[in-house]
Amino acid sequence: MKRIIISAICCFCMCSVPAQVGKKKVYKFHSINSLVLVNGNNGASAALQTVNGFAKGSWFAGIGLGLDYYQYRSVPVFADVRYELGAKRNKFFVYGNAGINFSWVQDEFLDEPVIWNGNRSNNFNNGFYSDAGIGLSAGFKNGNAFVLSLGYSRKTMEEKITYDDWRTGNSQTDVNTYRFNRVLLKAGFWF
Amino acid sequence: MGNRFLSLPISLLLISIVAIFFQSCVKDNCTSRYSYWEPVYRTQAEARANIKNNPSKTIERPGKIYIRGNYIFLNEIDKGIHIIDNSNPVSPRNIAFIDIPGNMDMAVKGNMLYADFYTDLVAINISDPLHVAVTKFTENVFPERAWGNGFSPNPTAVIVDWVRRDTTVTISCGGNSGIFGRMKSADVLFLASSQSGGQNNAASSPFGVGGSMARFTIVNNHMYAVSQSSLNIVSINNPAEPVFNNLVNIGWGIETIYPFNNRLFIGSNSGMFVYDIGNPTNPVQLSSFNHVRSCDPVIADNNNAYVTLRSGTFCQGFNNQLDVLDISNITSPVLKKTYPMTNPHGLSKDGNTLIICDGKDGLKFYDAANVNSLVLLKTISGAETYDVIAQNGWALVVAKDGLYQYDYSSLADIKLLSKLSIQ
Repeated sequence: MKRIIISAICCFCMCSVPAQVGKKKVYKFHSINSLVLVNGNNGASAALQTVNGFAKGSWFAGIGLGLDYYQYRSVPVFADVRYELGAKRNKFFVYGNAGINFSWVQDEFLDEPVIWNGNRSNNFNNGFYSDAGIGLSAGFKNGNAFVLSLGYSRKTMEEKITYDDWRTGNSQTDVNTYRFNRVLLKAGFWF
Repeated sequence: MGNRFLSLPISLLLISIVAIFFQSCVKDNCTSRYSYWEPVYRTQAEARANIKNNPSKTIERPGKIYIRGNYIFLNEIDKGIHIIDNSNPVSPRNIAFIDIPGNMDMAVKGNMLYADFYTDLVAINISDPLHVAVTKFTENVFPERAWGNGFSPNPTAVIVDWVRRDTTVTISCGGNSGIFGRMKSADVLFLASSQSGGQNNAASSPFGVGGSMARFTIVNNHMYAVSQSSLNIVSINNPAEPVFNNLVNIGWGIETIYPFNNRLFIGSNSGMFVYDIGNPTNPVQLSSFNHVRSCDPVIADNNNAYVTLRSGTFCQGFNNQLDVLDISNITSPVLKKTYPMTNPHGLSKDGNTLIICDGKDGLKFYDAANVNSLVLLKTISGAETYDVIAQNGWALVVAKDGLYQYDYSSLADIKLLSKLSIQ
């Protein structure tokens, strides 16, 4: 599968090179706002993303903020870099995201600090967020575009469960590490 | 070629095909890292044979405590009893250890020490604390101890120790996720509750004999031992040969027992019960006083009972206070006054001096001449205290980090005599 992806990317690069010749490159602010279908082996979920940054030529770099509901709710904050393949209104692009996955777990997953059968509490720590993929930008005449992309994403989180050890009475902590690997199908608008 | 390749329908089709490839790659990976305890077994014969003076051991989980002459007997929860030579209170020495698997409680009368050995009661002659000798095993006095801590032991063997193991295992990542995340499932809760097992109250709360947190006590020729729901009566007419007499069901949540004036004051997590033991083998309930759900060691004097209520592990409830009850009419205890506390545990009274172990606040000395207006005389902070035995200006205090001895013969000048550290 890696070979297929690499071949596809190389093909797109070769197609796009001639189209860039002679273009004036300036920095321009853009905002990409997407609704995301998140699909993993534990079900399908939803996410929202907004990426804001600057484009110059075929390159775009920005900062992204998301709201990711897959399994445990989180807020990824990430750097986004993408490269457009071609100069037509409809063009492919490749992108990569990397950043921090801030946990914002729903209250129902957090225990009260003191419960009837002993001291027990849990808390979720932040983790890592990454996402990389390819997409298609279908441009409008006014310069805006409909953006559709497909990516492979991983978000990680850590849950610490603290309770009183039944033998020693001392506080003991279990650590659950969650690594969620998903396919993201994003549909959004490039302004 | 470029235009054809980039046409929208074909591109969408291409993305869909790639999505199918990607789909086979996604698999959540979740792990849990935790510690658990693994039992170490011995045969019953081996365990019984080992109930003798063995080399001293480090104090790790202190429990009940008894004083006899110059010796302190300190329970190491689930393992046995430390023998501490206290002939010089300024410098106590841990000199020996009696291995008694499953031991949680003890009581002493004369030269005999009675201790629980899981379900059995063992009588030990301690006339020479350096050469103790078992005189009798009375079997099945505490049937509820056949299992505990969520663990049912092998009936043909005895758990003599527990070894801590660390492990990492793959766990479920949570099952089907909805659009807005997964629904709460029981697996995470189960993980912790199954590992914590049945919480052991004694694990975090060492008790003191003659004080307020004991579960064994001796009155004349009978030993009384409370379990979670019953009062066990054992005859010690012949001290070396205890005989199980009777079991009285007294309700759930029983915690402590304190004898005073031929009566037993029993603390449960829902109230205090007073039993008359005029007929030693057939106690009769005289009265009860209900309070909010919490742990509640109790002591008493002629006119008043002192009940500390605390919240936290196992205790349920959210109250932390001292209740003073008027028991001048023993058939009808009446709440006289409530004093707020931080997290009170054991308490003891010596004359008009009331001493309370108030958890992390330390040890508090009160002038209790007027129970309607207790006066805090002194707080000794710096140690998380659990229980205290106070007599004649001397206090033995069990704290999280050690065994303290204080001279409070002058309340204006309370002196720390010694500290025996706990590992």
